[in-house]
Amino acid sequence: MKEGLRQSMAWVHTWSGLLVCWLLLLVFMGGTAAYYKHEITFWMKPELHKAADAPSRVTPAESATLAVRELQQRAPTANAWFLDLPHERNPLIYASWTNPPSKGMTREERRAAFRTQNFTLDPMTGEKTAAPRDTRGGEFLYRLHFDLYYMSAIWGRWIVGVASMFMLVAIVSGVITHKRIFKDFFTFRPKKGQRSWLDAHNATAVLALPFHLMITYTGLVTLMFMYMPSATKALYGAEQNTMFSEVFPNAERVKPARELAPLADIGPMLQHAERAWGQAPTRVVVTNPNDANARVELHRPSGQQLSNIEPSMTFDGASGALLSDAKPLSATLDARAAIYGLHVAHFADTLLRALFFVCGLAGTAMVATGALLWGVKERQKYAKVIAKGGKAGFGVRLVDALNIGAIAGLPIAFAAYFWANRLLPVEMGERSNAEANVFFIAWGLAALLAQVRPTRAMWRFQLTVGAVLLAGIPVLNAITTDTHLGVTLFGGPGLRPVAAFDIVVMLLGLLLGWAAWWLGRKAKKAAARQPSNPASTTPLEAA
Amino acid sequence: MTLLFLSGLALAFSGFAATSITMDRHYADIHGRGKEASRVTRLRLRTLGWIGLALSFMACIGASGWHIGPVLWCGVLSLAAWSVTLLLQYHPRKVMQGAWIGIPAALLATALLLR
Amino acid sequence: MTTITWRYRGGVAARTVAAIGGGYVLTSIASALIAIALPLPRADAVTIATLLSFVVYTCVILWVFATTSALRAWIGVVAVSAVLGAALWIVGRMA
Repeated sequence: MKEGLRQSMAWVHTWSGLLVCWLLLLVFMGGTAAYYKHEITFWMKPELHKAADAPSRVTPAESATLAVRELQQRAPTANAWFLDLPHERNPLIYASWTNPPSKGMTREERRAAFRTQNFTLDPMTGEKTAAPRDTRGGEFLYRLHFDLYYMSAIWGRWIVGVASMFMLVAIVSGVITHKRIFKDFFTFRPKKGQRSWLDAHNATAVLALPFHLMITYTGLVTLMFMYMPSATKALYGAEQNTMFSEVFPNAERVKPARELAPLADIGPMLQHAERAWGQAPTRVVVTNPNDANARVELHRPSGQQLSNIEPSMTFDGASGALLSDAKPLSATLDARAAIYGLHVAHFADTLLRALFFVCGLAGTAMVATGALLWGVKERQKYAKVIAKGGKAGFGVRLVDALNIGAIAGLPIAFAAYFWANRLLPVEMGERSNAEANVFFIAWGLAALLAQVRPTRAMWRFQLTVGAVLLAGIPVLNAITTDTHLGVTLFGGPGLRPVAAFDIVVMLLGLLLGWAAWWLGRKAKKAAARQPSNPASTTPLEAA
Repeated sequence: MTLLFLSGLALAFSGFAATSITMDRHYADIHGRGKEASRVTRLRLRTLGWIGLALSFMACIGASGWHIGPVLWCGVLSLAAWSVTLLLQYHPRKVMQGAWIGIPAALLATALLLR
Repeated sequence: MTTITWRYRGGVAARTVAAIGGGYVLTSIASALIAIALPLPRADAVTIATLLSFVVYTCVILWVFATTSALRAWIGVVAVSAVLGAALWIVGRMA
């Protein structure tokens, strides 16, 4: 390391990137998909599509009253009710509740029970919609990107946190080591082998650098008190709960009084809020319903603010009187909420959300091109050995295999998840777990096959499988449901998310298909130059 | 708001296009090997380029306010930069022609912002 | 190209431990010190100190690999941690 700053940073960049890139691909793909988790969940519950098609002419106050009536019947003694009222990204009324934990229930049993504690209402009729199939929808992909799976959430978050720290180091070291960051700003030279991979890596990285830096740092911030607890320990000692109630003052839950008091009509509360805000509330949280200490919190989207904390208004549940508005936050706490908000991008409207999605895809491409570039560069070192008929080193083979398994295998997994959603029998038990298992089985198979034969042919095979599965989803949709592209493209605005999903996965499938075709063309060209070398089993050469 | 976004995008594209053609490599791609932009051209185009980016920023603020606007602008910049990069590789002359879109975009943005 | 000797590998390993492990210790101490030193309400201080910790950690990691030798890296991390740690202990005693 006596070589100077640029060289040491190049070394750091290579290794901090390479060691975690395959996990980061999962995190990036899951996180990018998560920007549309509501739309994905909606696509994965075709039973709800009919209700969403009709335009809702019911006011939010009426919707909420309908939901509360149903909740009073089904869960009068719950400790909290959550209502999502119809708005842009969700045309139906969604209600759920939590019960006080009963003794003797394991965490698994509580979670299984929680998944049944919800219903969806059609705002037009006030009736329950057809029961949607048991699926976690987009929530699975969202949780996957920080909780991982098949392990406790804490473990998953630590692993992703470490990987994110590696990524942060990779980004900063990458900027330091990039000699010609301004001269090469707009440079992309295809068909030049290693140089082209480097250009692609630079273009996807540098031209969205603000996003990549932001998303990595803000990602760490979402769990910062867990990752870096020393400041909390220094100022609060062992009283972590006090810290949380001071840093998140509006998340406090008041305890039930254990005194029965019927819940006041929430219609007037919603109307009051709508008058005060100039827009309708989108979320209602009722704590301790039918208790003397009941609270009704109304939330609206933060509008022009970055903060993910929604402005809210709290009413006394029993009397209907307005309690204090949410406590205003200090500038620092506001900034923290804005930093958090930047990561989850709740503030993003259709256009901006699409930009976040595109930048997320660019991040995925950045990680992928980086890993591929390493493989190409490393293989160069073995060029003479390979020409004499020898084999490339162990590291190259491993990286090749991991690259195929992640870059081509993960899209297969995502596609398989959506195929499972349409094909698994609706009545089956543990259905949502089964869908998740299909994701990992598909990924596991792809990764395993890649380890066995990390060749160019395997690249083409897996890219083709991914392409067919993804581009085939709209076709699958047409065969298995009534809300296929032929209907959704011309239907009401409520079904547009379904159409958008079909179109986006089709485009992604076409992209993978193009990649497979391009690889095939290169193989033919290479074979034409060296007729003695069977192109299909050549590992990915200096491209 | 969509119009402001589109004009912001066009302005960013125009700004990047203007600055990119002053760079040696890209100038040579357009005008022939070894050619370099004169100092005057470089100064003029780069100034216009930065003005385009600044106007793009204003358009994004106009579209989404002072908090979300800058975020939108970053996304717009990325989109514009990728477009210029691809165009420079495959149709470098179109970059020069495309840069002119900045003028109508600037007029549109100004009109919308002053409303 | 650096020859991959055992000495080289040792240097890399030493720096890695200094960066990841030593860096985390240094960052934790620094973050606690920042939190205590900031003349702000507790909630604000703990938030700023924790927000900054990732910046500090990144800088420490990069410095460890940029500096001229693994030995220097270790001395640097240990020395700064010791100084900050002493400061933290003193402030803790004063409270």
